[in-house]
Amino acid sequence: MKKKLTSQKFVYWIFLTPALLAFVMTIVIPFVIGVYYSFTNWTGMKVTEFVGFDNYIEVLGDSSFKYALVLTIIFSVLSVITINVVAFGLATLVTQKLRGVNFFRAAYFLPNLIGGLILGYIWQFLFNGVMYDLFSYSPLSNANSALFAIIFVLTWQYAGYIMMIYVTALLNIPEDILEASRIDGANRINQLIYIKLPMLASAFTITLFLTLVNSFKQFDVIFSLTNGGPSRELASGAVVNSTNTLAVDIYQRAFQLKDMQVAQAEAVIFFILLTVLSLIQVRVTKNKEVEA
Amino acid sequence: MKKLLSALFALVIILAGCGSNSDSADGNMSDDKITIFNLKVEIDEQLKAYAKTWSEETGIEVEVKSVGGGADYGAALQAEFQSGNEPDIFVAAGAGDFAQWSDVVYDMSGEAWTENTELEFIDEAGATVGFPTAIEGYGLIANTEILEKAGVDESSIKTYADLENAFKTISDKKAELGIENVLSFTTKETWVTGNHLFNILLGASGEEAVDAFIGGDGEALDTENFAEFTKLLMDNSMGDLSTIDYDTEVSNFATGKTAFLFQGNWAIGNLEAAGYNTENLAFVPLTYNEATAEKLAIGVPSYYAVNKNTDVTASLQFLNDMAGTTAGHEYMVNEANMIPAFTNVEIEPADPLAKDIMKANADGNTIPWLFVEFPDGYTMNTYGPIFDNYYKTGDGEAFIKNIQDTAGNVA
Repeated sequence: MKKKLTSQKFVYWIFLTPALLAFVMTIVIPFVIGVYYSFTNWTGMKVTEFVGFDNYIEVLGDSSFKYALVLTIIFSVLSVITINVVAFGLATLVTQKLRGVNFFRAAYFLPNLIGGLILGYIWQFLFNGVMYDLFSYSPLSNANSALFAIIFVLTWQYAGYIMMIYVTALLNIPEDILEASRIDGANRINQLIYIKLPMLASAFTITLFLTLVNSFKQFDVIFSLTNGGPSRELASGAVVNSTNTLAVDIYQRAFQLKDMQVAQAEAVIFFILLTVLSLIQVRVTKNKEVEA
Repeated sequence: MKKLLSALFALVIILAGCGSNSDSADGNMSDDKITIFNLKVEIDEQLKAYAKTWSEETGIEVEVKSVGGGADYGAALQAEFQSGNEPDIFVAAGAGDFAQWSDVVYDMSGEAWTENTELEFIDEAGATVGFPTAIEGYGLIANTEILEKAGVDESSIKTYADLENAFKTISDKKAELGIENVLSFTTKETWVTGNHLFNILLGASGEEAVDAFIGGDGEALDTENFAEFTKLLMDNSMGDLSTIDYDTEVSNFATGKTAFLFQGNWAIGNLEAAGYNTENLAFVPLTYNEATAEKLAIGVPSYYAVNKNTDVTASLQFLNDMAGTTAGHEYMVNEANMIPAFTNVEIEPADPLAKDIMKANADGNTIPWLFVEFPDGYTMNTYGPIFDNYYKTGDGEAFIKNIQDTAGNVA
């Protein structure tokens, strides 16, 4: 009996090792090294000194970090709302008994298959090229409208994917509950509010998590669409790049300013912040889940 | 379970250890072979061909290794050093790279080639460590055909007043000339404004003023005239500058919608591709005060450095020959299509923009690229938005204040 158990364990480890090895080598080790670097004067080449929390103090006192943090939070809240509202709207539409719903499901999902960088450049061309030629106006030229342009493009890309999750959840709501409610005299709106939404709570846990994390970490669409621009004049009179979110700020600090150790500290702060936020979100939405 | 885990970690450590294996022999110590680690993959073939003819003459074998085209040169070079195959000659882009490789670069002070250029890289200790691979320059590129129609002689534009007059003359005849506006320019590409345009302010104010500015003196630079000059450029530019990218900027000029283009000699490839007749091109100086009259902003994008851990004699001979012989000049100008940084080169390039740059360099009519004295990307990220905001608000006082407020921000 005992021998069998060990051989089972052995098989278990054999299967686990390749994935575990890949995970440890590409995620765990770099992460640990990264945290270590954030406490040193790492230049990207070598470490000569341990500097304690100096890098963190520099980041937290830096105005570009503060701006990026506020912007990222505003941006994430807005895009989580728009993506989910649009995705839910589309999901309700394509679960109706209509002709060609499969076609529409595929069509709405399609933008998600285009890479973020390409998508950003395509929309930059549409805004700055086509739209500017037609109306002499491009949303990318103004700080506020540029933020909405990014949210628009992100929604266009991501809503179809989130829609699929809602579609599955909507189709999984048992027909008998809906029928019972119909007999009790509930109209479509009552059904949506009192039956469908509570039944969808587990889907909301997933979609909110995905959109929150995706928006917070968003890099490629912003990078290719605006690359941080255009300018914004702050109340203090200082001028900053208006769409520098945390992810873009970390990139610029690391690879343009070559301030590796400070960028690494910023990335660690970013990681902690995102982990805390998403754990809170999952905890809150999980509590609202119900069983049929 | 514990055993397996420890075996797993041991494996990871062994795998990680593979990278630092460095006892392989260094093969480049001898005199009869040099290795060049080349950054520009587009001149790979030409450099190899030149190296081959040079080898035949001198009997010293040359190996050219090229990386680039999106590859990370810095990382590749580092890997090369760590693997023990140290190259004899490698490329360094500027102050940042030279600081990184300060333990390795050989002091070339007093070499023959240094007599014919003032654009060598000199490190903080005063040692000549960088051989300029080429020069590049920027200014206002003029469409000479349109200028001729408008009755403006591009060679007569020397001072700010000349430039202002030329802009006004052309602007008044827009409809007649069939152009949309005088200048093709952008504030979206922050390297154009934050690096290149801002550099005109730095260059015009001089190195001492720049040092004072970096030290915290906001008044050190001649910002007031510069604000007026920048406004002249922006007021006469086509389109919404916050939305114009490099391709649009160049193509607006190439298709004859504007008479001038704010760019450098590198744009000639794009202009040719757009079907523009490149004979009708000339540089006009970006001039806004006396210090910038008649001058072009000329700088060196990258340098050759010699590895002092190798036998440097052959490498030095190779560089001296490139800068000092007709074959070397032939290679630089005609084969690699680069503009040599050396004043003893007599071969004229076919490209009119390169010709103007060589002439300005020979005459000493140059504004140095001082933005490279700031950390990489700093001027682009800091001043790019300030220019864009100035374009939107047109508020010169705020623009001046914004620039002055950044004095001393760089450590």
